[in-house]
Amino acid sequence: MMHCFGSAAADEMPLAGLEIPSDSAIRLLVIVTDDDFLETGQRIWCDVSLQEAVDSCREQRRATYLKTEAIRAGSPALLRGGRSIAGGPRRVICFVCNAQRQILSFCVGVPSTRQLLTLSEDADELAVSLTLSETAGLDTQPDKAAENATRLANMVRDRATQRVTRHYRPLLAKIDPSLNIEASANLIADALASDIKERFLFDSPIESERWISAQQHAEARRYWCDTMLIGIVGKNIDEIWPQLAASVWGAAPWHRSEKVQHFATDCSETLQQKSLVCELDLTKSYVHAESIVGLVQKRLDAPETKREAAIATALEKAQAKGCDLCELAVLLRELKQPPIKLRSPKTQTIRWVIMDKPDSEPKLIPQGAENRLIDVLTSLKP
Amino acid sequence: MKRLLCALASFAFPTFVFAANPAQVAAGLQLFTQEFESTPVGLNGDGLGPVFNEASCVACHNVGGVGGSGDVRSNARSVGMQELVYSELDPIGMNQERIQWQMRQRSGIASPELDPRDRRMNEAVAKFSPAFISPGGSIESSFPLHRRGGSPAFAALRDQSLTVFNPHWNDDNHASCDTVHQERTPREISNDNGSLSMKVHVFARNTTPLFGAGLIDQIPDSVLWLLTKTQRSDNEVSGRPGTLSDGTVGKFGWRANFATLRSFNENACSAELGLQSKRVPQPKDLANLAYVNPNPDISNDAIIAMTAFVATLPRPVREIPTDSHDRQRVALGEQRFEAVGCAKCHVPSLAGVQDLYSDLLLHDMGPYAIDMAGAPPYVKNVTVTEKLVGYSATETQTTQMTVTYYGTSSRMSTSQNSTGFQNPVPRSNATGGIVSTRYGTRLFSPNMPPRTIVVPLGDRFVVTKENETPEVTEVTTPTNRQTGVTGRIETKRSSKFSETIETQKYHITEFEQTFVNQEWKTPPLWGVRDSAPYMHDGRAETILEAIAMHDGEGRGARNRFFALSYDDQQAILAFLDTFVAPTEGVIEAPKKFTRRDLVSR
Repeated sequence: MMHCFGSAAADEMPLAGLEIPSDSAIRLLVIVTDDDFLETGQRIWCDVSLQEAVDSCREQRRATYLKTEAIRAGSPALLRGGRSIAGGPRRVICFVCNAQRQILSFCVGVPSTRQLLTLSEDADELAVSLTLSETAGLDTQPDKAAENATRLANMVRDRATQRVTRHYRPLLAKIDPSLNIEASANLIADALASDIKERFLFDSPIESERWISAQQHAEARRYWCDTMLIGIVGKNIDEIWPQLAASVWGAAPWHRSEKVQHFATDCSETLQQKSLVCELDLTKSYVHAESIVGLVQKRLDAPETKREAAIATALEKAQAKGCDLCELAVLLRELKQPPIKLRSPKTQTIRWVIMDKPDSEPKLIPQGAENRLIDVLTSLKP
Repeated sequence: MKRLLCALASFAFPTFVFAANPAQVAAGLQLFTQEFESTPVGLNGDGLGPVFNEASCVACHNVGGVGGSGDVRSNARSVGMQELVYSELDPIGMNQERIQWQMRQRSGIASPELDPRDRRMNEAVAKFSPAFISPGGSIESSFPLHRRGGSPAFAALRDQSLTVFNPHWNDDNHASCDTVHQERTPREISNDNGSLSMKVHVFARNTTPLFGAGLIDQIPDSVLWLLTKTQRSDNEVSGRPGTLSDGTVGKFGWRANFATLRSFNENACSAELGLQSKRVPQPKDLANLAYVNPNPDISNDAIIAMTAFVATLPRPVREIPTDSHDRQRVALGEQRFEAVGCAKCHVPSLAGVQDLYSDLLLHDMGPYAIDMAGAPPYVKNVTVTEKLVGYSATETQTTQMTVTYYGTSSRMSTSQNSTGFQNPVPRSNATGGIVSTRYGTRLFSPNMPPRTIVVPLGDRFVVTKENETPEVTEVTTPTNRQTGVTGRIETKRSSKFSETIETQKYHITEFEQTFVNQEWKTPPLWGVRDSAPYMHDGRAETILEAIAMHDGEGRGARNRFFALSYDDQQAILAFLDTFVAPTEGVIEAPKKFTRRDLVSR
């Protein structure tokens, strides 16, 4: 069996002996998983199951050219001392897009062959409508583009009316492309709670292990997905997936965004000239962050005392940069640094990371070791 | 556990399917697939109805062929009441009426009549649905609500009830697992003047597939008792057989309330089609209770023929994948299935019936599985005792029970005078009970059976005995005045009298305190891939949902399933996907039943 999600080359591999398909026949299956976001060459966790579904789907729907692409958005082993994440349920979201990367359908969890076929058929229906709009030039005129988005949303809404359970049905009219994902998700939060209480006997949609485990199966959130699609259909996958993943996973995905990349580049340049001091901001919650830093301390910005004022002054003098876990991970990868451990049973979570040179081992200073921090800061090269 | 499974599997019982003569089977098939009709009352009864769910067996049993399962549209429904609160709007008037009633009762000139407090409440309840009121004036916790037939008055009553209970009644376009959930969601309904409020549900029973039923019929009761004994030592599951009044145990029906395939068929004919047999009366038109069908609609021979046909339905089979990778996954799934504890109840083989995957025992499936037509209470002990008259039967009796096709409905006497409840002020609905004040009544439908039911047997015995009091010895020590010597005289006395003793024999049945309304028979998993929807009312659309809905005794296995890795979970699902409906020997069901599409995905 060939696994298609391992490398970019395999993802792009065309079907041998066939003509290169036209754009309208291409469907992009984008799989967002909680695999290490810094790794690119390895398999994703649900590779085998997905590959089976994709193979069957390709076989049964030969008219559609299904390309696959994996987006890894999970916590990095680089911040866990090189260890991969241990056990526990995993996370995945699958989007079916057209060649222009517009979302046509999606599911939370690994789709079975039947579910992937349904996603594919749903996508085809909407793709036809999008192509017709394109041909008519409706997507280029500003007022017509909005009208077109509404028309697409209405198509999805009509379909959802036939599918979703009674909890979601009255809310379908309220979901709109103009709403952001968080607002849409909040709107249907109670419906989701009632839905999963009935079908999975959950008392509340808390992020319990069992609920996360159930969400590995595409049927757990299927009505939620049918409803949410109204708001995101036709939108660009690259803009949507981080928000949607954050909404489903209850924590931000690890994502090499422009902002993150810019931070890493900026820090690398700084290191060429002087020492780099990074102060970790742990208030932003990332998926599986607890496996890296433990339970996030809520009040890192405690009221200033005289001692903290001294630290603040020293940090200011050293031009310390605030960064979150994701930015730190990307920075360390840019610098080709070996894995570090941000937490050990004996010490508190690392709060400051200090580097003298790009290739020197970073100094890791935990919360509570302020005296050591001041010593290190004073010894830094100007 | 493994040793027990092997022992059960190797129980030396024949696995051949019921051997019946072909003419009987052919007649049975004809009966199973024919559409019955109402007929004028005559020697052959009144035919279909008066109330019924479908006009033929195959109208419900058609998924995968004649005798298969049915989708949610063929669900049989019942209405259940969990709680009732009645507030007396005219307490002064009621009290006056009650004083007069008490005087009449004491004088003995009045015929037995209901306490006015109960009568007023019953009248209010009857306005919602007279079916809640039994002929004796008690309130039933549940009654079946047939989809079709009945007098115009019954149809009006049904529509009225269902407008309150379920706006999507009988609407094919809305039939889905979602509507099953919607229907069973409890509703608080109250009357216009606010004197009555009731917590009611519409419960449903999904059609079970009959493939392989002939093999299940041959499993001896002793196997079920052996399993029960084994599960007693398990700290998670504690299945028990459905103990029936004749001493047998149930193997058919969602509540394990029928011991044989024949009794299951006979009762189904009555409950679903309104076909009265010699032993089982047809259900009544609730708006025409006086009507009695004088003769059976279906003969004994017909029941036997139908049973012969059902017993010859082929058993479900396994469809093992040909691809080696898939086969390995199925093997892994089978291993995981046992490891997480599913096989404790879904026992692979019973008495030589391979791949059954059921213990046919009743298990508590948790509060979400409640249905007021409960399982037959577990009989712990039956004794016949002779007691002096005056032995208080009512002290030990909480509720009466009405045995119906769908289960055991609790009949709650509303009067405190006639029934002594164990908990006069019930804290929960576990044991049920009643709280009556001069201002009203609060009634809880019980979730447990009474501890004992005491039934007087035959007449009282009156015996007159000639008795003698125990002999009393009097000792005197007189002194001889002349000699001065003290002597000793012993006098023995007794007296005779006659005594009249009144005694009676009582049949005392002791029940184990189990949550009968939450207990369900473990459904066999054979053919599971092709018998959706799942659970007793078809609330689960997929096998994954059905696993997730395991609560009560199934909670541990469910939690362990979800704690498995995704691949292991998929392996179990792949393993279950190998249990398919039979492919050979299946008779195709009429297209008009199988070509209906469900709305849900």
